[in-house]
Amino acid sequence: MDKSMLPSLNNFGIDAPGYIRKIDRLKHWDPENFDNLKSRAKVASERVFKPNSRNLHSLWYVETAEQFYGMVSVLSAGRTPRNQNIDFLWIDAEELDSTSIKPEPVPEGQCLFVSSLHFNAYIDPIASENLCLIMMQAGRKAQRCKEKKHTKLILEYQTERGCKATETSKENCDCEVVSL
Amino acid sequence: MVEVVERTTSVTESLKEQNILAQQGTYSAAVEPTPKSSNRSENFAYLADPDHMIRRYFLDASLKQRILLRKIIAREAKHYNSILKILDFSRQGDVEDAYDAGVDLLAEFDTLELYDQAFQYLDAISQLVGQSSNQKTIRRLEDFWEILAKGISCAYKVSAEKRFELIGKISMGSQRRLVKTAVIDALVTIADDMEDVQPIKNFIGRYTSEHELDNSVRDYAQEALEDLE
Repeated sequence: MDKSMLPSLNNFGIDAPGYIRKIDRLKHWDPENFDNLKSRAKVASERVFKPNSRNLHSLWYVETAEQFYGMVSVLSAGRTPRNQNIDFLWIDAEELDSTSIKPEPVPEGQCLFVSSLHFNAYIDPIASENLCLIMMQAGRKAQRCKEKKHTKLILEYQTERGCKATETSKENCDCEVVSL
Repeated sequence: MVEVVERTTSVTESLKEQNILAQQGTYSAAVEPTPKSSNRSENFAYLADPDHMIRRYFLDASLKQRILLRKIIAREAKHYNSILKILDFSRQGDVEDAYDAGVDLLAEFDTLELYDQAFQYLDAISQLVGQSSNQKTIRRLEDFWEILAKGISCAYKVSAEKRFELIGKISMGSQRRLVKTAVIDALVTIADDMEDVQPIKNFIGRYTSEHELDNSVRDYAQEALEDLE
């Protein structure tokens, strides 16, 4: 595959390095009928960081496009169909710092290249609301890795590389070949 | 009881036919409860209940187990209550990857019969709720419509035309932004499997007209149309 066909981090408005928070749908960041940012942040935060009993939420640390592609293959593993929209928010590390959110590494997924880039963070409802407000004040937009335009190409590329999070027929992925 | 036992026997036989039960340790771990009684039929009754499997799918199963359980649940579910249960689990914060897991499960159904019944139920509830000021109720319904639309769009065993038809009905179920944009997303997904994409474009085109008062929906629809070019 011609690698130049793949999307860059810039295509998604990502100012690396930083964290990616996968969200269920793009429009969860843009709820209707709110006349001020604070109330919009409150409603959006309840969908972006759905309240749970442990207040733990998943984040991916991304510095390069290759890492982003690995994350896409992990998030697509086991999906039906595999090529789906992946909607997400970009979060700057300073934005997490300013709300006292400290991500802890927790390996995730079959992609050897990025499994160590997965983090869990304790984010209670107040912290999530504050974080969303800061991001909205910075004009952050939710992004979409589109099913046909992006995800499909990325998964083809990852499959060619033998990524273990894909349905590849290769025995070793490129990461293993390099380390051999 | 006889009926339950017969049903469970048919499930087990069917699994054996697929040679899955014997070969896949993860599969049997996914569907078999820890034996608590020597009464086999009691254990199997537990196994055969689709709602129990739905609970297990969302709360206990690994990714591999989820992939295997999806197919059984989709085959065994016989009542639209199962669809409503799936929708409810799909929005819960304590369930890992709840939304995606719900969509993936809904995608495995091979007919839209239960979806259609769930649609009629939700439609009736939406009309009852009407202009309620209870934000929790409104958002819960929004979530249900949204996940249902996405699940239907991904139901790869059902013809694109039938999926399109039901999404058309869902589009009338709610005027909320989240639901309208979920309908647009669903149509884009279905378009991939349509021989003629023009009806989908025409449908999405309605959201770009001046009759659509929500600018955010209009822009969203416009972008979807561009993606279909």
